[in-house]
Amino acid sequence: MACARQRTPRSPDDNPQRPSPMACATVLIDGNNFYASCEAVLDASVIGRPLVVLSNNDGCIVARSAEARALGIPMGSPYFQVRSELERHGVIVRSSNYSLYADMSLRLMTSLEAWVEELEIYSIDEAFGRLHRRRLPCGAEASLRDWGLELRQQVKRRLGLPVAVGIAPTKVLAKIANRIAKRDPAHAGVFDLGAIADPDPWLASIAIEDVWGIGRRLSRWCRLRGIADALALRDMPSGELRRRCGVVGLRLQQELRGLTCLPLLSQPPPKRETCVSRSFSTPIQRREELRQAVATYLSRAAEKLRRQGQRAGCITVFVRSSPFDGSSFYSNAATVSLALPSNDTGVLLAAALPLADALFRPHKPLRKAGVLLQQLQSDEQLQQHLLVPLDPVQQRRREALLAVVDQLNRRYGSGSVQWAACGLQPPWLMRRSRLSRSATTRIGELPLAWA
Amino acid sequence: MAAADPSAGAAGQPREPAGMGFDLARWLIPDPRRCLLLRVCGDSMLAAGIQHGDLLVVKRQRTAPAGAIVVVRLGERFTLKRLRRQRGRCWLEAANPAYPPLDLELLARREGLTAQQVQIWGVALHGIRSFPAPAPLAHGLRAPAHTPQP
Repeated sequence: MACARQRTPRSPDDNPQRPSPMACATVLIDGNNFYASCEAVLDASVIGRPLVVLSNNDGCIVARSAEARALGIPMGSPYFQVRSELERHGVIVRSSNYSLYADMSLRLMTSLEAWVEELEIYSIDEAFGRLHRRRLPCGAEASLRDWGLELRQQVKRRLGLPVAVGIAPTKVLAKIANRIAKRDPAHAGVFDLGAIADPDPWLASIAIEDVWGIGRRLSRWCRLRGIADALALRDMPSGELRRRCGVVGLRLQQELRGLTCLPLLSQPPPKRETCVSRSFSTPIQRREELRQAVATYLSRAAEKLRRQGQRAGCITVFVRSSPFDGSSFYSNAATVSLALPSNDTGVLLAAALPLADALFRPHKPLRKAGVLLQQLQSDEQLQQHLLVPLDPVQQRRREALLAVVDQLNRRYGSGSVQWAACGLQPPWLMRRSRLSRSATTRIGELPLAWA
Repeated sequence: MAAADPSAGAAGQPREPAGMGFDLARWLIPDPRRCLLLRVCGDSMLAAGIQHGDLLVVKRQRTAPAGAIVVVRLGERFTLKRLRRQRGRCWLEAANPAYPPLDLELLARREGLTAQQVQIWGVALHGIRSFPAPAPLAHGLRAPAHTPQP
């Protein structure tokens, strides 16, 4: 194929001989063991001790502090399997405290804004940034390592969160730089791949499975062709990659070559759908309980819609039993389209609860249920429906009511005001037996300063 | 290259409030990213005007000037005291004669604490105190007559 010619790692555009005095750097900043680090911010008894955070319903280990990592406690292992081992080592165990992590994430992301020219919040604990870097008189790019070290130190001092900084010309390379920064303590959490004269040995040290965007199936395909690391992927014939995974693969390869193909998304694209689903702490065996669960998830999803300024045109409810409890597996879903898109919890409930009734089977204990809202459209483009004329006054009063409900729930904690259909103190509620306090969001749960 | 303190830019400056009156939250919590709230427990800072149960606005920082009221991580607790320095040593001083001053170095050695476990954690910016709700009046009694009427 003609593409074999593209083996030169750098294109003319990126040639250091060009007289441009500034180059662009992409950075990936992420929190180390983010959930575990958040648990330590406001709890002095946790700092420096091994700690793990469990997933929903206290199922699996989803985060480990550096100390827990050093003990060799595996990520993802089911809690019940490692429980005695954790106790033996005196490991602190915590349920996922989402309000704490979200609050710390917001603090982190707003702090990072001042450090870069452009910021894309990629996940709760990761952000891409872009900034300019000087070129040295010889044409090479000036190192941003000192900048990264300072950022890291300041975030640690001011927020109490450890972060790692990967610096490179592109997003895919920044991911790799970040991985290297964390891998070797000698880098002190910062690695600038763009300022290194020969990045090839570093790329060769990154296994193909660890390249951002390479999934399990694609990595197996690469391995079969002898492409075992990031360097080999960068230098493989582009045509072959394009045939296998199209333009997505080509972009990834170009990014590995230092050519920016993936722009920063500072404004998240409007959501196309919203889903709320949870597994139950105890299986649901009664119709009434399923209705309560669906109502609970739906009112949360509706609140999300109102926050995003959107309305849903279509609701799907889904349920499933446990695949492990010995009974025959049951999984089902039902969908209803609304005559008029809505984000009114009352309207959505009226449409969704009959679906819950229809999905319920008396002898199928359910382990999980969820609500999916689709055909989302912006609040502004509410088109008047011919058959359902809306009284504008009624509509405005309804919207004002929902706004007040949302405000109360934001201020006094989610669930302070709720629809009766959601039930009170339901037994199926997510189990979070080892939840730390909402120390940054609830005035009643503040940590103590001993005077 | 980046300035010494890039975050002290426009984002850190208190904005002029657009609405009526003071933006009290902004004044109490000048940098919401760095500030946390703690609840005071104990009476060792009484003379400094800090009472048991007060709400404390704390700004995270690892160093503090002498004389500042600081939150220090001591072992498994956060401790609130005034920071004193003398001949290169750090002391924590209570504002209550019933509590002796604490020499941080001696304390760490005695309790076998590491440097990470004895650390300045933040500086207290404000104390906020709510007044208790008035006790309900006994049946049949009225409020004092000299209460100014609106």
